[in-house]
Amino acid sequence: MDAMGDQPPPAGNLDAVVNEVVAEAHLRPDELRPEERAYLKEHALKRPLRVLDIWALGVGVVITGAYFGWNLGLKDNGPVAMLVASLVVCLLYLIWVLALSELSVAMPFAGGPLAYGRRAADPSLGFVMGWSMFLECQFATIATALATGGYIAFLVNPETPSNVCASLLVVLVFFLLHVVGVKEQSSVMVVMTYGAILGLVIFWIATASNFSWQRVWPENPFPPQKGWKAVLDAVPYALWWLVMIETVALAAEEAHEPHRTIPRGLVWAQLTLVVLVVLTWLFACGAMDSQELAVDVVNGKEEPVVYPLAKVVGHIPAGRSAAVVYGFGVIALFGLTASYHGMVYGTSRQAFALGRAGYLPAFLGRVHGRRRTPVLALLSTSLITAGFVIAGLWFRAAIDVAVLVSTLTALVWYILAMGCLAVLRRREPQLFRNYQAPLYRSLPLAVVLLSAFAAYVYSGIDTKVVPLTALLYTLGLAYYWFWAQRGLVKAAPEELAARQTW
Amino acid sequence: MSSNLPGPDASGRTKPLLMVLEVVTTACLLAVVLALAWITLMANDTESLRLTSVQLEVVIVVVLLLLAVALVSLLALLHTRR
Repeated sequence: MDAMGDQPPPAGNLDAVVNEVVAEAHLRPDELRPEERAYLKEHALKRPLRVLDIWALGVGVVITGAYFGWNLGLKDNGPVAMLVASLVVCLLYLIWVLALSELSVAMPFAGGPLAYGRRAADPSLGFVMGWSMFLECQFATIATALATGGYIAFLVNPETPSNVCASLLVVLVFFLLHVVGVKEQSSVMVVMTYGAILGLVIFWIATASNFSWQRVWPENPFPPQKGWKAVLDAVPYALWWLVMIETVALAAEEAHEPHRTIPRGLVWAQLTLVVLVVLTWLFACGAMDSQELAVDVVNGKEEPVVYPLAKVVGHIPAGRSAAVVYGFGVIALFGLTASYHGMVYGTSRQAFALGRAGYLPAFLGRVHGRRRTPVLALLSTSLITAGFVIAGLWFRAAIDVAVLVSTLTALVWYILAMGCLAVLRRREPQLFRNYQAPLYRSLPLAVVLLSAFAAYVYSGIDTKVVPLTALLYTLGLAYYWFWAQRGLVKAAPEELAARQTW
Repeated sequence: MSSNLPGPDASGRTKPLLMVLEVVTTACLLAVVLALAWITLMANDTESLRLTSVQLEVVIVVVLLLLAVALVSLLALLHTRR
């Protein structure tokens, strides 16, 4: 039972965890007041995660991007535009995770962006960055819950699938799993990540039997009416391949020796994902016309294809066997559930950190006495997800909008985080003594320029995503300015880490 | 360019190969940024910036992006070995 976290951790262990947090906040233990030590003890997380766990979290949390979402970028743009957009995004995320590793090792707290903004500037910037990541994680979780539930419902009953019931079941199961303990959920994540990769390998092998270079690289690479604009239009959907890998930065507070585990785990995860992205694009677009991969025509109306890989498998000769279709369908579930699993982690940890530091309601910052998991943050974010799942009954484009809000809010804090990195490197170089990313000056600059490029293309999207995102920021900032900023908790790790700059 | 390459090895030598790799990677990233600016202009019907056939333009951009991904990956892996 102890392994399941049912026994309270010994007081000495909690003292050791608190001492580690204090050291990582670059404070001396005697600078901590007794009431601050008590607060940290009460809100301490365990630190069992190693490189394999970080790799699995990094790959698992975004692998759903290979299973759905990216294909919507093929509509009217074609496979070549999608390839160029995907490679831009792969490069962006590669340099982004390197820069993020540096910040994450310097300030290994569950608050992640909250801590970076807080230390580099002030609580307002910390809140904007933390809120951005919370929105990114929450909306990605909503999109994935809808897609996962729909997929399960389709497998169980293809004639009349009940998406809402299956989505709610997914939300409940993963809420319970995350409540049990961080090591336990991480072990499940490793298995699911292997399963998700296996699903993609089976997909590549099956679709190779129907592969055509003509479909992948047509004579006219772009639609004649669009030209290079097709690349810009594909970028927001290409972001979905890899968005959320930064969730790994939030795991730094639960990682053993974060200065080693975070950079290694993140880099290996990102390299694994680049290979998965390119091969999945290649075999999907080679096996089926790209427009059919993006849209279905139902009763004369175009509807987005929600499960593109399953559609390809059903379309190719090898997929005429029911065993292949259902076999792949079941394995593909790993891809969707692994990512949902990782997204629940990211959303709950960000809500927990914002609550623990007083930026969101304090109850979100409480942890379970024995399991040391943020139960109320998990419950609250799961309830929000469940609410949107139910609302999805009346809002057909829910997945599309959730995907775009998630990626847009992500870009906001990527750019801000690079500003923080530049400021902190100049002002407090000693912060980064444990790990420095390669390409010292050009790296953050490249992240900013590529992120700005990706954000710019949103101006061409015909949805209500930008006003909706602006509304969410307005609500968050109103809460912070009119309510939260008077009650920030100075004993929270993210606030302790900022103490030297007061 | 300010570098934070791994320091001198056991024999006290710096690692010129890594320094060259950082310089080449930086140049490649700069080329990618310029390529993205060019794509943005081309997307707005700036035909005067057309370099060659669309096919060849796409091949050049794809090769540039693949090269940048490969170089950054190599550099990242060398850094995580420290």
